[in-house]
Amino acid sequence: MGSHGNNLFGAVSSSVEAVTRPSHCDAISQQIRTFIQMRTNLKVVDNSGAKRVMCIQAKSGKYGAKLGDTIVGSVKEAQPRGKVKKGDVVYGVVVRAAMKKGRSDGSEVQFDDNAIVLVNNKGELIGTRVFGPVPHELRKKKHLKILALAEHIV
Amino acid sequence: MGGAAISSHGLACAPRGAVPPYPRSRRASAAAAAGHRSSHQLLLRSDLPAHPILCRARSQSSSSSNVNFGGGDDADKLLEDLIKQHGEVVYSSGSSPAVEADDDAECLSFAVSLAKVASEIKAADIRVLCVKRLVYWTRFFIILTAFSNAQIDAISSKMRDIGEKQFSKVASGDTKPNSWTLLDFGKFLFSDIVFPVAYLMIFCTLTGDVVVHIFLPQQRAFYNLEEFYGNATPIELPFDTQWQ
Repeated sequence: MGSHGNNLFGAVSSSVEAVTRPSHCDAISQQIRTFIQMRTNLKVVDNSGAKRVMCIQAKSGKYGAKLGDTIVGSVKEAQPRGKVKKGDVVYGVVVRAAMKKGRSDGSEVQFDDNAIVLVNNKGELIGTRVFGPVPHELRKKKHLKILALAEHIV
Repeated sequence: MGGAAISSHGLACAPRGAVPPYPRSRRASAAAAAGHRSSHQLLLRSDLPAHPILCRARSQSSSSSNVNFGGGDDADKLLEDLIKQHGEVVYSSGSSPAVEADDDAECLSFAVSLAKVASEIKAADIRVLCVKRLVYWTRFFIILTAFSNAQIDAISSKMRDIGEKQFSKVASGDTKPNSWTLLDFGKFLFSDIVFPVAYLMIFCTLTGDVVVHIFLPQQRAFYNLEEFYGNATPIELPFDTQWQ
């Protein structure tokens, strides 16, 4: 935590979180990350069986989905024996987003990848464990079940 | 969370340094240019001799102020002096063990009373777990099994009533019953140490108190929360928790 956004992390670490502080060299060297919208590829971080999902629709938000929002997606890659298979249309909750999310104390959270957890249309989780860090913005968005199953909360 | 502590007053620093790229600091610098009085940062910045030292604590990259800092010790000492002089602790969580134990006892009594309510409605297999060491966002988990949607409704409404009447805690959670219904009796706690001369916020722990999980029998086996929280200390309940 507290790592500067400029650090380069190898592909080994699957997801890294950076609490960034505004600094003048960020504008030159950083990409501006935006919302999760149609055709965005997202990683699936629970044990439901899917591996990658492409977003079809962001359920809320005019420009796209942010951290904690629900999206509709199509499974592009799945594990052979899982609860979902390739081509399924699924709902998901965004648990890690590459776009900065501001917190009320002035800090911002940003992850290195976009990740979702699969949910059914009633809001129940399909998987039983969530991997990687999740932010506690999910508590405000009433996704306490994801927090309860998460292995690391940021 | 130490990093988060420093970043907020980086915004106050940015106008002194190089061009701030973000909308927030742009606003601060525009406000500075316009002499806008209502922002905290401006009121405070003008009479703060130690401000550059706070800037320095943030990061070396942005501050171009030309005050010579003696060293880390001076800055720390100055900070402590400022805290002693001007700081007022608005809220501190986990300050002393006695206070913590009181809080814990209150939450424990709340949890036990919720569990008793659940057993009156014939919920099965009630477990109260103390997850204080494992999870920072809550203190107790209550896990119980209900057998029908009507029962889940009854349990959650009774729990909400008890929470509001006796302990004045509002439950946020699932309103419609689900195969995994969750009730969150928690509160956000922020701790501010507000300097009259500098704007420094320390983000303190988010402590909720009790989270209630109501499962249907097959979901309980499916999600297996007890295994996930196997390290939590179970709390002895003073009544019979096993129905069937």
